[in-house]
Amino acid sequence: MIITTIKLQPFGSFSNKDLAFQPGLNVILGPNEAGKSTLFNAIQKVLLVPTHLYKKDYEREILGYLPIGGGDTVHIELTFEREKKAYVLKKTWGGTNASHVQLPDGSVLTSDDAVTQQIETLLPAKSGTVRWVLMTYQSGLQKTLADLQEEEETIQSLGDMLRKAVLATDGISIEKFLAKIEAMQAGYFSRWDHQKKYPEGGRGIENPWKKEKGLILEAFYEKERLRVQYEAAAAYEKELDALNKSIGTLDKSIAERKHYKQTNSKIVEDVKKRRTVEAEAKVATAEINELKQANTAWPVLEKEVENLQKLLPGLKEKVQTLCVEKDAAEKAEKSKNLRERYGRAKGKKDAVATVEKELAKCKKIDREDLDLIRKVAQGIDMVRASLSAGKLVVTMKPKKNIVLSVQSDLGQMAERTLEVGKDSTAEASGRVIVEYADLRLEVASGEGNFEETQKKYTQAVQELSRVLAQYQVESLEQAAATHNEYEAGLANVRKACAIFEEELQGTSFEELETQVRDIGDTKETRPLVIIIPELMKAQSEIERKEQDIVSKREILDDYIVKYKSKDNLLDELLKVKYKELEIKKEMDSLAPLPPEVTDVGAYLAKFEENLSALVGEEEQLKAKKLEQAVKLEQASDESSEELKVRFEDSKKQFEGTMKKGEAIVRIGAVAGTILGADGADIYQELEEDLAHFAEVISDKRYSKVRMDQSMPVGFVRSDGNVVTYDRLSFGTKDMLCLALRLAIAKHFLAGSSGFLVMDDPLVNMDPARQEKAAELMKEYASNKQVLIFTCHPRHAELLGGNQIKL
Amino acid sequence: MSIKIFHTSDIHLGMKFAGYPDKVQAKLIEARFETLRRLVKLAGDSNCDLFIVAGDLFHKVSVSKKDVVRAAQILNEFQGRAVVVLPGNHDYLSTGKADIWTQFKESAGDHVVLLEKQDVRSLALYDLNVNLYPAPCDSKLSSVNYIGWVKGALKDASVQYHIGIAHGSLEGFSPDPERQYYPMTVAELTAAGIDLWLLGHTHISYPDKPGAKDRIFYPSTPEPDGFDCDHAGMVWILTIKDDKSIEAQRISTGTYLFKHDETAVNSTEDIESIRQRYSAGDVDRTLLKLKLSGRLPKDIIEQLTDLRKFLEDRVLSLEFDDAGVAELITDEDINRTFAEKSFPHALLKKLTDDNDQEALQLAYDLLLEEKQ
Repeated sequence: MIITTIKLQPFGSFSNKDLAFQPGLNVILGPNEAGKSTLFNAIQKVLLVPTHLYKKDYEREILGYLPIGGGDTVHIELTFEREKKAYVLKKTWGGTNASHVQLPDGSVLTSDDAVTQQIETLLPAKSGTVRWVLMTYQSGLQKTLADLQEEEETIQSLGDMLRKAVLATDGISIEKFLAKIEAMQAGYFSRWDHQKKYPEGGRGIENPWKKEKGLILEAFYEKERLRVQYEAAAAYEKELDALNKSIGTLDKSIAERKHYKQTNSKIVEDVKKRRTVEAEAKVATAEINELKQANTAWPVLEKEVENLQKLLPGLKEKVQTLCVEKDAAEKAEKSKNLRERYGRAKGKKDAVATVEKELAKCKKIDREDLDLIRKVAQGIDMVRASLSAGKLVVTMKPKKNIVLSVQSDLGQMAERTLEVGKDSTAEASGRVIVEYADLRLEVASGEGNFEETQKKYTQAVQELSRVLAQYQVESLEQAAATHNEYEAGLANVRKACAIFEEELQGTSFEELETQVRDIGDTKETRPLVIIIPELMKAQSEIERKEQDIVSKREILDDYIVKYKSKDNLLDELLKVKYKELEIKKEMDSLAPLPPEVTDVGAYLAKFEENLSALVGEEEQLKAKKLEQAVKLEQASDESSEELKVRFEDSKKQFEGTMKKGEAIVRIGAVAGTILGADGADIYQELEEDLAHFAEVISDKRYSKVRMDQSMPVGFVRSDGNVVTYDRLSFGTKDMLCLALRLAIAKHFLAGSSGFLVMDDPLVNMDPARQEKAAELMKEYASNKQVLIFTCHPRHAELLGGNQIKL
Repeated sequence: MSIKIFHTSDIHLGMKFAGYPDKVQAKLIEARFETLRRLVKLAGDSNCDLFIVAGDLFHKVSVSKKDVVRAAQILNEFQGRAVVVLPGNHDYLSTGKADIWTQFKESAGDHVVLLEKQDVRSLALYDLNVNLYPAPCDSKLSSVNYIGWVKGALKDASVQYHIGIAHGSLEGFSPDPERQYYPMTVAELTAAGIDLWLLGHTHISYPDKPGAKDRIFYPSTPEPDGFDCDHAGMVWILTIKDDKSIEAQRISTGTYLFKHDETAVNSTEDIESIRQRYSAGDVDRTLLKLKLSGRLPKDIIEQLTDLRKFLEDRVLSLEFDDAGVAELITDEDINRTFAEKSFPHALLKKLTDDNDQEALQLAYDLLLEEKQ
């Protein structure tokens, strides 16, 4: 788009002004207050501001440009070319609003929206870009620079400025924007744990954060507060219901118990009275019975005692007689026994005589005699034993069959026939004698004197024979048998004597004989076994009758003590009878038991139980009513239903706040992505252009820009040293600003001949740089339309181009 | 002889309206008493024989003694035969401090009948050939209803009309998901074998279109009590005739209206329509909760401020929530407002591409604010 003419009729200070522009460089020169700013704004308004505006927009955009000389309408007409084709754009604001565009084919658009849309397609860049990048007047760089000079944190501001230039260019501070997003995030999420979807540190409503509360946290607490209130109200209502129910139940139960008490009190009282009266009646009946019995028994007893006393003498006489009979019977019994004993003793005495006779027939060999015989026999054995110490074997080997005699030890000489080829042996302990023909061969062992031994042996044998003869026995064995016979006889005698002695029982047989002789004659009596029971029976009958008399007398004595006399007793009986009648009358007057009561004890227990339960329940009721009163004091103004509605609202509120907070987070995330990725390329491109333009203006003094990530921190001089931004001169800073502007504009006008509007870009530079800058501008304007506003004729001269004076 | 019954319920006297603006709170509290007074007059003027409150005359059992006395005095003014009051689940029967009914009885006139027992109540004393079958509540919540006894109760054939009065939810009609408000069913009510059931509890009029054979009625509340009661107050005037047919007349009552209006606004016409909606009628007695959604161009969205002001000047109380209205931000808006390739442009384009309207709106506003 190349602007060709503009007509202001009227606009601001211009009542009717026509101006023409050329492609390439146009320099609008005019002193201060000449209307440069008005012209700049007229171009901007006609291209970018619709004619149908809301009041606020109208006031901001147009009101300041109403004709100074009067009138309520402004009008601008702009002609321009695009791709060699001419367009006419007219806009009127104020009293009447109108938009008009005439297209190259002669057609005309008059709807404001249509005109706006059409112009947007013809602008060298999007309308925002045109407004904020290509038509910056009295804002942009110099103002930013001024801000920059006042700022202490230079680098940060420069970065911001650069970002503004590259990425925003329209007055938005990304730093501020990001800080704002961050602050908003904090405002929403402060003290909120996004991961856990809960307040930080798990601090719920029971332990809430007091400070630094974010909107989400506050909405959450509000929601929770209402939830707690709602739940508390619901619980409260349930508790109150339960409490009221239990009060109702108690009320009902107490009423029932009171009714029971009332209907049963009289009955219970009478039941108790009946118990006492019944006991009294029982006593009276017992008394009557006792009196009646005494009345009947008294004369009977008296008669009985009298009869018993009459019987006693006869009985006593009978006992006397029986005692005499008993003594006689006892004596007869004793005599009989003595005679029987004497008979037995006599028999036993005869037995002793018999066995003594038998003993006398036996040879007397007692123990000592037998021992003597045995001792002699043992002498023989001892001699034989003395030979048994040696061992002698004589072997005979005959050369022909012979008969010879052989004697071994104390044995007899005996003949033996020997055969040829068969050995014969003779064995002995001490000596073997072999006699054959004329030969007597004696073989002896050891050193013993066999002759001596044989002599002793012979003597011993003779001694034994003598002793046996003395006792008239053949052998030791016979002596032993005789001894045994003798001992047996002797034992029989002893046994018979012992039996006899036992029968005598310490007395002598003669004494016994004397006693028997002395008994004399005895009388015949009944046996004792008949007499004694009879006697005992008679004695016991006397005893019984005497006891009977005593006990009957005791009863009679009691009667006298109790009743004094029989007449008195009758009086007493009448009195008690009367009392019994009175009691019965009283019993009849008592309330009857309910028919269903079968167990009076259980009935009374139930009544008592009801009474104590009543007391307990009345106390419980009192306590419950107190509890109810306290609870009602605690009642909230809102019911659970009302609170539920508010709680649901607060949930929605919380969700809305959360949604908004999350939207902010997403904005931050998208911003971060853009600044981190897309921004980097833009900075790179910008860095190159910036370096190029700076190099031209500074006549190669500054050919490199030092960037710190996305931020330029200063220039790199040709000697390689870095001059940081805060150390740059005012003019150099301005130079940097111009270079930046051109770099930015280049970026947006790439491939377009569209226009760039600038305001006094050379003002702070030294003459040399002004020249270089002017050259650069001219070069820049070789293929783009550039409109430069200046109040300096010198600058206009340096720039050349189409000069327009205001 | 037919009889005419004024059937109301759920007046909730003593409700405090916590959470509402102070300026309207007192009005709402007072309005409930005033409405009761008007109902009593209306019933008298309409020659009703009976004035029946089917539960929840009071909002709570902790309602003040003053309010109880005042209610009784208002009911005493009824010109018909008798006033019948059933304790509901908000003003249930209780003893001790929670007993509001002893005070009520002391203050009420002879022709005010309080139904305290599940027992047949004859109205012969009031020259009415009617037996009542009440199911008074004795607690706020109950998972069982108390109408069970009616089916087995002796129906005196010499009495012309047998009318049940109960309070609680009706399955299929009342919202009671936890079944804790004395839930009843149509089948149970029908099986009770009486001529008419007058119910309370649900703040919706039932049946919607009554016919002569309808036997179950809910009057709704006569004075709306919150934004969940988004309609006018209602009562029934019911005439039960000799043939037991019912003639039902629904009467609109109440002073205030609670309007919960959730509207989409996508054009000036939509805004205008809201403006029209609240320009006339009972708007000065309306509490409005207006929740707007939709997308509007920047220049139009500003009109919402005017709308708010407009409504504030007219309605009794306004809750205005336009957080759901997003600025309609087009690519053209972005291109026109921000330089291409600039950070704001890139940011907004990305959010547009992501169709993240919430973030787009917010970012756009922030960037514009920053720019200005």
